[in-house]
Amino acid sequence: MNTKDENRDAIEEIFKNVHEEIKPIDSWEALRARIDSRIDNKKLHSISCAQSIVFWRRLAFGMAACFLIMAGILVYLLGTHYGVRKYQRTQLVASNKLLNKVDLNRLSFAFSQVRQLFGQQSQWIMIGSGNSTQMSVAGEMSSEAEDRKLLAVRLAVNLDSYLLPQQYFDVVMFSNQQASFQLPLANISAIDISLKPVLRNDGIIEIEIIARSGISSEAKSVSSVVDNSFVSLVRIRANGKWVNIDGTGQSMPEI
Amino acid sequence: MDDILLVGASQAGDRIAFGSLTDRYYKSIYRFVFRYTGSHHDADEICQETFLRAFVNIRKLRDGDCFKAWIFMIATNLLRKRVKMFTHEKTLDLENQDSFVAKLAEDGNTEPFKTISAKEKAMIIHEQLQQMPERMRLVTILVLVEGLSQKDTAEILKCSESSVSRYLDMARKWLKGKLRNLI
Repeated sequence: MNTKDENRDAIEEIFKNVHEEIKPIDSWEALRARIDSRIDNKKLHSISCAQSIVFWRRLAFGMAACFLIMAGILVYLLGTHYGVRKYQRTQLVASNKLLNKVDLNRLSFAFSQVRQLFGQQSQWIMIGSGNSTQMSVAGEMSSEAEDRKLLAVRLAVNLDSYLLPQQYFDVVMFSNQQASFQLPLANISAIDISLKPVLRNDGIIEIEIIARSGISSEAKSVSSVVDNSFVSLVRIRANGKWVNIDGTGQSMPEI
Repeated sequence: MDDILLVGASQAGDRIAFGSLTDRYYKSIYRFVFRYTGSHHDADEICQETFLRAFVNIRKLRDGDCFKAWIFMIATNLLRKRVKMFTHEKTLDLENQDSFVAKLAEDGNTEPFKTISAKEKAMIIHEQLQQMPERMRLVTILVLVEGLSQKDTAEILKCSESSVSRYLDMARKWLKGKLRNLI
């Protein structure tokens, strides 16, 4: 070993010896105890944190559940309220727009005028709220007795998403007749209607309707009118808009 | 029991095994930190924090054989963070050391290190280390004093082995130059 190596070893030896002399201010045992204490505190803190996390997580879940329940109740109440209001409004409109005695007299008078034109045939008449009037003779009649049952059918037509007033069309015809006419509607092309009301023996009016718009759109249904109220008959697509047709029927005095 | 078994047991939640690992290395960590900072307070605090972090993260250690390098890495990271954050309190009287070293050199004593006390030697060594650049100082303590391999030291300091080797050579030359009159 040369002098250079000896010097190097001497320096490193001194280094190591000096290093070994380093001690904490108090003692190694005290430092060791502090390390253990720090770790134990951390463990306790971790457990406490974990418990705290579980608590807050449960609380958050609980609150979220409560929130969802409250939101559900709110939506239900709003929906119910809206539904009730809509139903009430519809009922109100429907009851307001039912044919009253004056209307029935007016229609009866008009029909008697038409009867003078067509004689004893099975004629019908349609009078729209815009004073549009159509009349003709029904070709089909299932029984002779039906011509003694005169019915007035009021059709209420409205368009989805349009704040347009409903349009009404009154059709006077015998029970079990079939009348075909057009509904002249504002903003869209006319809709062809084939209507056949039947006054059943139990007094309920059954309305059979076929609605057509153009060559591709068609809807049909058979509905019973209960308690002189409007019922939804058909819903049809016309000119890119949805058209709802409701209807009600009332029997007219014999003429 | 070697480190691998103790680390495996610690990872399985054996607190006693981790205690054995702590017993094995806490003095080295304390000395290492003190040697670097010269502050007992910092050494105490960083030593505790090092073992706390080791305890918390022991499951992340893949190779139990690397525990020593790993624990020194934790200590080194804390040390660097601490040095950046605080101007730590020096417990050694550095002003007196300069005059002490100069006085020893002027005395004409051919081997003054053989005549002075351990405390005086410590003061001189500390003084020389404090004057070293940071990396060189860390390499000196980890390799020369703690006996870590150059590979482990490179891993701890996040540099190449050749860099560690270079720092080591520079440190030896530095110390030789500074202490040649004293040995």
